[in-house]
Amino acid sequence: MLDIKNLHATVDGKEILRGINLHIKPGEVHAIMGPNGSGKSTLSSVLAGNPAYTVTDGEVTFNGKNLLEMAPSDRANEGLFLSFQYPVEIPGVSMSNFLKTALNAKRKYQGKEPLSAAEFLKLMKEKKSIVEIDSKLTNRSVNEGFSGGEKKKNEIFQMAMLEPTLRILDETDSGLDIDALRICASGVTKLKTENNATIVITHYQRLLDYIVPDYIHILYHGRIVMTGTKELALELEEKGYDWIKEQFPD
Amino acid sequence: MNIREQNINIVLTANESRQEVLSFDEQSPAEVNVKVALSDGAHLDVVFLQENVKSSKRCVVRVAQQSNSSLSMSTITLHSVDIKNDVEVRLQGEGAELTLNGLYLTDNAEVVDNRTVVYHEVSHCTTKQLYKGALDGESKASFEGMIIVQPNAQKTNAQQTNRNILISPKAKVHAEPQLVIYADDVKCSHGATTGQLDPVQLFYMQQRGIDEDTARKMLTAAYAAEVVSLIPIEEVRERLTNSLFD
Repeated sequence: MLDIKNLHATVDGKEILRGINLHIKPGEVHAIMGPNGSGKSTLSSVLAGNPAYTVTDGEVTFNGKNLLEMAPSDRANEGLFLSFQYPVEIPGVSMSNFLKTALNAKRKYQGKEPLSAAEFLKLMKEKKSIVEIDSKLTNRSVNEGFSGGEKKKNEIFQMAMLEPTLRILDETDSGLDIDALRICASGVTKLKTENNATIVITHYQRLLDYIVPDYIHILYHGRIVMTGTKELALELEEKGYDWIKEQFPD
Repeated sequence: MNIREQNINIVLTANESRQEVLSFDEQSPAEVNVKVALSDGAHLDVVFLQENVKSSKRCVVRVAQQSNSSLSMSTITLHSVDIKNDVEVRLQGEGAELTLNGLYLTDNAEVVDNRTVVYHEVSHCTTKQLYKGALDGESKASFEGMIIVQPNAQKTNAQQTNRNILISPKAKVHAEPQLVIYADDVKCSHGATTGQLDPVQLFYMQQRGIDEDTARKMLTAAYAAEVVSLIPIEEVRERLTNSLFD
């Protein structure tokens, strides 16, 4: 589904990704861990096509297509979804208008007719229950005045609406209390199918108790320096990142 | 009402209340002079609409407000080729309230100029002014707004805000907000900003599958909606809101 080969990227002229290789198949859950500044969020931004980052080398293939040549909106409509670490407030754009536009853009990309107002409302209602999101929130402007937990639940709600095939969770656990974390994580798990894949970016093992990964990759100084199974997260929790830093001085 | 007369007089007697919608179209005179006189306690909501006007128009408005009168004036200029609005308001009776709002959305080679002057001639009057513009293409706009607080206009409360967004790098805006204060016991503020659409918001929308052009339109509509939401005439407010997000 996703094939990353020797990916290099810079931001403001500084090289942050220095040769990432990653291969992800449908149904898999990959966790990416690593200390601050190792390039985790850069990787998710580059995959989503954030124009603030420049790819300087490497290839990324998504569903057999050259991802790096696609506009950010086409990447999304092809099935890539990024749950933002800091979801963006958009005053004046209502949640329902935003989601309807997004959903119908995807349907158009897939050659389907737009949803009617009634079908859309029905779908919203059905998906709201997955993340226990307050109905009032969907009547407001996108993320405006939402608490940290509400913003993250709203990301998972949007994920439920858009049904992406590649789900990238960028530090979904940051700033969440334990209840909101459980709701978000169980939403992600409920929405898991054998056809979608998940990349979980996190600092902490805690989130991985809920979203159990098949693989854990440790990103350090812009490279994946170690890959293991879920036990690796426990080892990290115990030892911290210092032993990685010592092993890969750079 | 579509404007056909060159001179329009709106005179409200004491405590009279009225709403007026004055729309420009191609058949409107090239120059229109509007005189507004509000007697004590009168209340007027007026909206000037300049939507898709394909020829040059100039709208000159002169207002005199007496004690405790209130005026809400909105000037909405949407994709018209060449518009000049020139508004002067004299607050002549104590307790007069003025809400003076404007919106200009421009594209291509359109030109919109707004000049406003508010004279606070007596004490205890209020002015709230918000003008916003979003400029695309190679369009140009100017905002020259002056509030003059005369020596005996103590306890004046005046706020003036002008915000502009340049959607295209070739669009140009000239903003000149001015406060001239001759009284010492007043609350006055003014400010002008010019910026771009927020790239972080644009990226977020695109990440959800909304193409860049549509995302720009939605953000522009959201930005413009603030001025529209302040229009007290419901029918106009709803129609404009719907057309912004269409």
